[in-house]
Amino acid sequence: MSKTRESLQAESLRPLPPIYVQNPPETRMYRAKCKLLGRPLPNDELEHQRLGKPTALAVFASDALSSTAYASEEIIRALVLGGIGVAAFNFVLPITLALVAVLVILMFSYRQTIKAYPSAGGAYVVTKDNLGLLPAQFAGVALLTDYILTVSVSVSAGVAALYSAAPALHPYRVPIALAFIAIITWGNLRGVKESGKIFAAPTYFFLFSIAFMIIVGVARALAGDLHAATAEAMPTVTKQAGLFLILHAFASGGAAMTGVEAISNGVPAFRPPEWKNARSTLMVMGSCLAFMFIGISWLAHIIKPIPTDDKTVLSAISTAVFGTSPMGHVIFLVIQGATMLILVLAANTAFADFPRLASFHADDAFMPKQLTKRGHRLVFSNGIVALALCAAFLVVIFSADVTHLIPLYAIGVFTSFTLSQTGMAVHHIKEKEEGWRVGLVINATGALSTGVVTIVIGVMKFMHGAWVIILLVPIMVYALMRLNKQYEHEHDELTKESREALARPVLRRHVAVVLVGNLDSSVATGIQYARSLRADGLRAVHVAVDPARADTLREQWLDLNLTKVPLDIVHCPDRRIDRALIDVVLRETSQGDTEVSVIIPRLHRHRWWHQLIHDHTANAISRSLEGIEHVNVTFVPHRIAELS
Amino acid sequence: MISEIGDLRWRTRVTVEGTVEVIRLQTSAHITALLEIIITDGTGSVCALFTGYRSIGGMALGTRVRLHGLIIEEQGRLAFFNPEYTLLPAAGH
Repeated sequence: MSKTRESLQAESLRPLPPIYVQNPPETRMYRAKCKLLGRPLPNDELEHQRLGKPTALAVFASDALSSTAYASEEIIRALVLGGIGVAAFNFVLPITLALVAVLVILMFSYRQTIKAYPSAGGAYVVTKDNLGLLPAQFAGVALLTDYILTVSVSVSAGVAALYSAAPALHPYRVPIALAFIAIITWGNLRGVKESGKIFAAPTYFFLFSIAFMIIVGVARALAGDLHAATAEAMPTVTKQAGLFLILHAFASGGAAMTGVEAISNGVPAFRPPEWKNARSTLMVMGSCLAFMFIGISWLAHIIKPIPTDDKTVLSAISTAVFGTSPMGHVIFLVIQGATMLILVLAANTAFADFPRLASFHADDAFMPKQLTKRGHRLVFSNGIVALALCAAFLVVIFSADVTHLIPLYAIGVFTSFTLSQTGMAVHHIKEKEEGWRVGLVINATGALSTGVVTIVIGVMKFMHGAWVIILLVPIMVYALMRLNKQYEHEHDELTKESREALARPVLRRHVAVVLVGNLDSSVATGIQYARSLRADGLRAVHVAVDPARADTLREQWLDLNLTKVPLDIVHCPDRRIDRALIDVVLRETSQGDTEVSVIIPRLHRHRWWHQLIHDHTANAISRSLEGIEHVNVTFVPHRIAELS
Repeated sequence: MISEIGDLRWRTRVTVEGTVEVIRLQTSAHITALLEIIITDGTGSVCALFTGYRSIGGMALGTRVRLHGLIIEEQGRLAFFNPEYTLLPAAGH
């Protein structure tokens, strides 16, 4: 007796066993993700994802700078197709200069924006702050569509540079373009800083090689040995140049302006002092863009290259400037390579901006909340993937053809320019900060000029494809407003009456119902779980879709001697399981004093494709039952050994 | 007179007609065998308990039956206890 007491005492003195938490193993998908994207970044590394000025220039400027690769060409194309013959080349330079004038106005306008909105000065935020939420949706959607087009156009133009050097690749341009999009997506999913590293070299490479080409070209032209290359192939003159044609060419060249807003959108990505660094980077970028654009257009004016389907104007210029000697050919290849690289990476600017802008929309409940979620590497992974999919879709639809994509382009970006500049003008009038009069003049000029350009582009390119955007943007804005209404409604419902809801009496009765299809071990798991609920009533329910199966189940139920759990066999002549189950639960809840737990046993799936080989009755049932008050659906997973 | 199931009152003696909607299979461990069915006529559903049976020949899911008996209360709901029953031909025959 005493011994027993001692042993009891010893037992009670023994320390409690340690709580041992086993780290659950990572899934195969997650391990693959870590291999592909690198280790997951913890939240506190977010602050360090900042860009120095040279890297920032590379990341944000590639879009703007790269458009010089096709802007001059699109101007020439529009003029040549207008049928004005060699005279086309007389207008290239004036049109380019007009566009550069717009660029200069934009640069100074955006200097104002960057200073006024150092945290995030995108068109969306500026418009929202000064003009309201609805105009902001227009600005944002217009810009988002343009970012998608930036990716499609840049990648397509990059592929054009590739097949200008290697014509054999022309038939494979769509798969090549898609591969480029995939690579950029991958780079961006790994994170901003690393993508900055990847993209810095090509931007500078392009900048210097084009500068080299322009300098050599200008030197040769001044020396007098640079001649028109294809004068004899010039199409015949069918009409005189008119204002309409000039404006059309101007609208086509407007694509060069896209990407100027990139820096103002991404001010927070700069190292402190953010606004100062962003401003000086903007000025450097604008100067480079103006220099290259004018340089290329000037060379085009001298050389008069005719754009063809499989050779770009830029490649024709570099052939003319460097000649056909082996050395010249090598330089030609280098320039084509640089052009291809920068164009493909220009798409990267859109990848930096689209997810951020989409997250602004989503923060204001105008886009799906998933877009605000930072992923594995602290970037907005969902936005990145969404952008990649949309751009890939356009590339496939337009079979990677820049000329067909161009009319859709630029209208969105000019719409957002106009709205954000108007917003800035209003900002100056409202805030009256120091020097606001100067700012007002600058931004009003910006708003006016970009507004005019928007209208010119919209009218000139309406028939060529701009109508798609003009139609699509309002529809999208309507959809976003509708989405916002739904979110607001959900928010209101969730926030109101939570106190009253807690004060409501707890229902006194609880019935647990286990759904049974066949009698197997997963049902046993479900019943064991249901027993642990200690409900007032517990039973199994089988919906008799197939009477023969119901009879078999009945036999098995009796054979297994499942004590204490009655089995309801429910009539279901129309095979609508969910309707029959709604009747079952309504019979319980109709008195208003009962909570019903519907327990659905199902197999735990080890692999994603296991989803495909099982039917989804359980999900459908849960969807229709969850709409009924006081009905709660619980899935009970039954784990089986993995097939080795 | 046939009553509607939705109008049933406690402690009344009534006759109803309806379709067998649910057959509850009680377990063999019970001392007395018990058959429980639920019939419905579109206005509501009511339970009928038959002691001493595991099953009643002909009373299958979807069968139309007429029940006559006293309405009692069982576990918070109205029910027949060992009612008289008649199997009816299927509707429309």
